[in-house]
Amino acid sequence: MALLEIKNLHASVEGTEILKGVDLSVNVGEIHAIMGPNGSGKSTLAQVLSGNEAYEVTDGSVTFDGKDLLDLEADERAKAGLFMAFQYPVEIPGVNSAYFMRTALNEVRKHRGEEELDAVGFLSLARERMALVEMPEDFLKRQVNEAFSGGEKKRHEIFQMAMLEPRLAILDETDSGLDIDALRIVSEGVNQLHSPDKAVIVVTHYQRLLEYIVPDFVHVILNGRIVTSGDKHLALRLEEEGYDKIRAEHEEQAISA
Amino acid sequence: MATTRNDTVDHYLSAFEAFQNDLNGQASSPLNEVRKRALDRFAELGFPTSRDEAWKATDLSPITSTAFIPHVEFPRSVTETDLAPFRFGLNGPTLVFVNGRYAPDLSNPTDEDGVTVTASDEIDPEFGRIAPFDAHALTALNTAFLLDIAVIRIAPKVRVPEPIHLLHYTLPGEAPQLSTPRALIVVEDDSQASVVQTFSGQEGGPYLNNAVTEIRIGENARLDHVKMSLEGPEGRHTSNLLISQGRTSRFTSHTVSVDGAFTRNDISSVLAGEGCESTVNGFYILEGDQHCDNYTLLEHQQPHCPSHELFKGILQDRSRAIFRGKIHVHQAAQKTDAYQQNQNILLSDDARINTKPQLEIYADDVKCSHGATIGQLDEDALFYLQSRGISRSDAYRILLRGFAEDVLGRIELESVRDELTRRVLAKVDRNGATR
Repeated sequence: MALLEIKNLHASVEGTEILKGVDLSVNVGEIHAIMGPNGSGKSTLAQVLSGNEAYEVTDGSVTFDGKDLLDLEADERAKAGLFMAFQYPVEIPGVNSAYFMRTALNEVRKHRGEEELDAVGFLSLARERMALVEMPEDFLKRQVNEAFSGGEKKRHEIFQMAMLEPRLAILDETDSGLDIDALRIVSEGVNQLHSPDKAVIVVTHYQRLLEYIVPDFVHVILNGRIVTSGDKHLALRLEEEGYDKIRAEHEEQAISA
Repeated sequence: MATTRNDTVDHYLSAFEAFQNDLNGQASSPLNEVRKRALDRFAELGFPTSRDEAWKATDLSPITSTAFIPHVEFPRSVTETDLAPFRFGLNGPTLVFVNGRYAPDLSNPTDEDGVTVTASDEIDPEFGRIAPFDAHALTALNTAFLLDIAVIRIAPKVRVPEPIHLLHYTLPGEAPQLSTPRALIVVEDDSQASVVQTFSGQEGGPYLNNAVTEIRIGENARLDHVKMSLEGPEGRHTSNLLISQGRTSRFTSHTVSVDGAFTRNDISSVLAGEGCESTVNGFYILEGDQHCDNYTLLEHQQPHCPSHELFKGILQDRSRAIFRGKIHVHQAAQKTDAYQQNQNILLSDDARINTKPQLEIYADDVKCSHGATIGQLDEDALFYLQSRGISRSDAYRILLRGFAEDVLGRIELESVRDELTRRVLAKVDRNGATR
């Protein structure tokens, strides 16, 4: 059984349909890349999967680990092992990063039947996982994402992923706004966290990130639908040809059909 | 019971006679002469109306439509158990006032090592200088029915090790009562002190606490001040806090309004000495039909003075808040650096906030900024927290706590800060079920 099974997923935001029948199956141990130009629906897919209520699912189904994912609130999805690294991590003034992370981690641990971590236990785990993304320790004393640089925010996302140890991680344009060094740090973090019992979906516009996080499958999303899938070579082809050629081919298919 | 504001003014004029009779022979004291003059002035001024700039948005009817009864005796005894929740673990010099009357057996006054913390019915030479009654009707009303005055005097070059606590507690009686808490705080040159004023009360009926506090801070002296209104559910609270600061002095104040049906805080700080610094912060959290009104005036009279002002509020249900903040920079006050901010979260469609920052600047080399925000809880932030496994109701709580911490976290006294945070969160939780 696939870890994630998406069937004919339709979703809209403020009455406009963005996803128009997405099918996707992700097994444990796999890394999938979802590529597409701006406005194709790739970020919407990430948001819908993570449970953002601003998006309305109008048709289709999603099962995660055999459970109806769409039936779960965002926090229940996180507890079930789903994680999304935000394209635009939200600044939360007044909320201390360590307090936030420990609260979240203990919620997830409670759900898994694990013991909650006290301040000392949390700190030693946090130190270990911060090293993974080369984050200085004073991050924990700061307010969540407040006055973080773009690169710091993205590293903070991967740090959270490292703490929560999700079964499925969705990286929503994690590469955008990163310089080469930060991209390498973030990618190495993701690679180290990946294991045969976990899966990753990388949502990106560019092939650049996929040089570091090598996907098993690449899917191209256009106009709210996955139009073609392949292996990592599809990403290279997209890099060379751009999205226009594939868009033209897809339109031809649509017409001939 | 009186219904119009003129009736209510008349009510206080006639209540004064009964009050005088109850004073039993003290009616010829110097304090009583002041009372009489203040009453005359109150009769001339009457209650403020919406025509007064400082009261424009305020519906004063919770104060003016009830005939609160001034009293000399206090009705019932209060036990340590009643007061315990409002002690905040403060063990320094403490004066407890019950229904406006000094309660010596519950207090811990002091008069040694340059630190005077006493209750008095005598007129201090400085009394009324910073808080004159001729221009402020509620100050005149306070002065007309004065009984016990809290006096805090810190001699020059004294650092008071423990916070001083003025704890006011009200037990509502059969009839609505008027209490007139009054404090005079003088911190002489080069001294340092911390003063906490708590206004608390029980449920059981309406009452009015009409408080006046006047503070003089000497040269190079420092005062940390916290004022809390934790009044009973039907308690009404009006407060006039006036501060005069000497050269290079520092004043930090937190005005926190948590409980009570109606709250009005007037805060006027005169930056009267060159290079002094004033921080005037505030926080309010409202529910039901509660009303909270903050009116602040910072008078920058001298050069090189920074001032910082941050007021934040959370409004739930049908509550109503008003913030009016004025910064007046006099011509001499060059190099003024004044910052004012008012931020509000409205958690209900029926809550209302009226916010008006005002700058009046007569100096040409100054830095002044002000701003106001009104909004709901950030949906993106809620979703972000939820996406990490935190339930929506916990996320709600975390965000509101963060919003409040921005002000409460600046209170230096840990026990006060923690208890206020606890009370604010309890209030958030009480309303959580409706979301």
